Amino acid sequence: MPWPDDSLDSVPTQSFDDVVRLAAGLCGAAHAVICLQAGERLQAHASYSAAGTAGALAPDVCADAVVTDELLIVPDLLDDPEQLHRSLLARSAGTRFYAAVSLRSADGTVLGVLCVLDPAPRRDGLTSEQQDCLRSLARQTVTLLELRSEARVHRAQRILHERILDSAMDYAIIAMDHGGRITRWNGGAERILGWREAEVLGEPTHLIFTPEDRAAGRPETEMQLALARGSAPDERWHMRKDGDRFWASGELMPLKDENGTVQGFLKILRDRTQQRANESALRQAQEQLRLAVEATHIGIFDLDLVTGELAWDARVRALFGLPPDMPVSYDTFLAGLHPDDRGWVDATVRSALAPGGSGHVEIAYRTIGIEDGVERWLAATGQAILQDGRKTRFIGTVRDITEGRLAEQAIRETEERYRLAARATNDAIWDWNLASDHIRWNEAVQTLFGYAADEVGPSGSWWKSHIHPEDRERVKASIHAVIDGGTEHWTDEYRFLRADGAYAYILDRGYVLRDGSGRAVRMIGAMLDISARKRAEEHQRLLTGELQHRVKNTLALVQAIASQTLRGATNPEGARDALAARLISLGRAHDILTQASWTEAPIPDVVEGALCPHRPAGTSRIRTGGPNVLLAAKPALSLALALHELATNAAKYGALSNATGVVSVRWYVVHADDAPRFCLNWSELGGPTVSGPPVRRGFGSRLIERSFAAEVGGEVEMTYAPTGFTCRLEVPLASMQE
Amino acid sequence: MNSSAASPPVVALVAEDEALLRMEAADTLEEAGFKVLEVTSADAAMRHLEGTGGIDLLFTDVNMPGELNGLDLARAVADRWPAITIIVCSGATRPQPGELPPRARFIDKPYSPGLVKKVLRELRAA
Repeated sequence: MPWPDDSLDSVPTQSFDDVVRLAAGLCGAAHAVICLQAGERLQAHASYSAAGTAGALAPDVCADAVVTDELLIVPDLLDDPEQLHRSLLARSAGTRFYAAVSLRSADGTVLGVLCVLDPAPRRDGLTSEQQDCLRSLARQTVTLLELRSEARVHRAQRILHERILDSAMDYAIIAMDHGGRITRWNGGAERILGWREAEVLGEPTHLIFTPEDRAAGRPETEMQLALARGSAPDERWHMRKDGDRFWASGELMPLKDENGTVQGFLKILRDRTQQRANESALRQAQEQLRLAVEATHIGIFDLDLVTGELAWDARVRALFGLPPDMPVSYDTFLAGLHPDDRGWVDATVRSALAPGGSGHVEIAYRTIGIEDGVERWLAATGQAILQDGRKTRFIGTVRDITEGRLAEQAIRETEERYRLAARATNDAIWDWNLASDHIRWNEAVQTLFGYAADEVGPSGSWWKSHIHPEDRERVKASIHAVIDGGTEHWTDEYRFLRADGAYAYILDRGYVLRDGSGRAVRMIGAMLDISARKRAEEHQRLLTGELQHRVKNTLALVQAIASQTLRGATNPEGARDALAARLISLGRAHDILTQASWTEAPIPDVVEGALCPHRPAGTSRIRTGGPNVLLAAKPALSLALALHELATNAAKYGALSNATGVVSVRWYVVHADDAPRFCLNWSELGGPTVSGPPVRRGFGSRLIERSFAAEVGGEVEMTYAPTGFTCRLEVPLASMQE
Repeated sequence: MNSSAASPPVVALVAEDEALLRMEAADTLEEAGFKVLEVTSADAAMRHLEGTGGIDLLFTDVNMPGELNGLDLARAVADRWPAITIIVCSGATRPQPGELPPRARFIDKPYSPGLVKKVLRELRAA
């Protein structure tokens, strides 16, 4: 039914029944009906039939009622020329008289009709009085309908409001009168505060305030504030029925009618205890995070993988050399990377964030500050966050590890230097754990001493067993004196057994590491092979000895020359000149030996050296020639001294004493049966006539005989022919070369 | 020193490979009254001692070519011909204790003829 009866309707059904009864009575008709518009059709809403009337009224008697006019009177339906209302007859057989008045609202809308019907035709229709009455009743009906409609709308709204209020279970909505007494208490209030509405109606709102707020007059203050400012915030602890406290958040507002008169108050509260706790926990967590971030020098990044937005905190910005306010993007990140790291870092991040990627990144890279240009090492850890199986966010931390990296690099470089140094020096470097007797050797111990890797024993015992037996106890004593004593540095020299069985001379230097109590725990050192140095020292020693020997030998020669010269001296001046000339000759012979290897000298040089001071300038009066034979040092000296004496004599008495004489010096090697012999001929020609051998044999001839005659297996033949002096030497070649 | 007239001449054997030094040593010893024989090596000296003998003084250098050096010669002579007076001279290293026979004398080169004569006197007096 479109207009169903409602027990709560403000307009009772009886009112409409009264109208139709009055209409029938006033018009003297058997029936009266109120039909109301129901879509296109009309439906009977209330009907009256006088008692004992003939012909029942069909329920839908007005269904086709047509209201063309304000008031329609049809005296006899059978006479209706247009048979407009014929259909009515069809339904209510026996109806002849019909009158209807339209039910129009103030805005002209036709709500329905009020009609009267009678079985008897009525020629006179209705009296004007009856017509007025019918109109009045129609107006009355419209008023009733409008009242009822309004009431229904109002009620529906009220119900809606009630439902809204009560369904707002998260909100305590409390209405109060002027004095703060509760007039309404919704479901949310019951749930949050614990009291049922019935328990609190008429009570002051003080009961939900804490005792301290009540004592401080908070409820009154709130109402004053609400009146003064239009609303008063209520953010404080409140009380539940069971005495529990909860954190309420809401406000108190004055309730005003349409004239602006204050009717009471409305309080709306939410229980924010959990949120407050959450917020507090969040704040605390944020604070902790902030402190942790602060303390650990961590920067945080957050990349939105959906929008591409990148968020960097101040520290990340600082690490990329950016001021705090500059906007950043993934490209900024790439731009800040060291060129050597840009490629692989980008690839790593992209691969981790790709569908199917691990979503996790843990890398270290270099940045070059975008604005400050500073190079830094950063360690970054990032984790993608999944939403519905899709990576939507990439969040993580970066940390400055420059210092550590530099330290690491320094250590690496130190190690590298150590390794290179160890390789460069070839020292056998050892690291000896004194508690376990374990020694760690570098590779040099193999290369230095010729051992295979598995032949090198990793222990102090192995080392000691390879020290030369004559040195072993001494070295053990010296190293243990350092270990057991308080010093740190140990140095010793000893011989160390090589793989080939020879001994290398070692300079070993070690450094003792001690624990907190001063106990030696470790020793590190290097064995330097000083065999070459030892050999050089030995060589030096031999050289020095040899030099000493030669010097003393030379001095002995000088002494002998001096002694011999003075023995035969007839006048001091002559002795002085002779001595000087002989020493000069000796010196020149030394020069030649020194220019050669000292141990031997080529004979042409020796001959030339001895004779050149005697060669008259610009002439070739001394002619020499012979094969290049190497002479040993002593024979070379003897030969030089001998030639000097011969040339001196030639200058004094022989071929060189006049202007034309010549001297021929020829030597050769004769290959005899047993051994080669060395021969030298000194011949003078063109000098003054020689009268015979000198009366007294001089130093020169004695020296020549001593040097080349019987004692050395040779022969010396001196001939004082009138044409010139000749001297022939012949000695085993070997005696001139050993 | 001047006993040469009363007794047969004493004979010295000079072993020295350096001709000039040998000549000087021989002259010095002749001046001291010796009849001097000269050889140029310890080997030659040994051959002479074993072959001819008749030596009263051995005057030898240390470093010479050949199998033996002067010290070897001195020890052999001291051992086999204890009567022979021995003078060893060298410009090189001084002999270590024990290298030289007990009664032998060492003269460092270079030496003066006077030193040789002084040593000879001391040896005779001993």
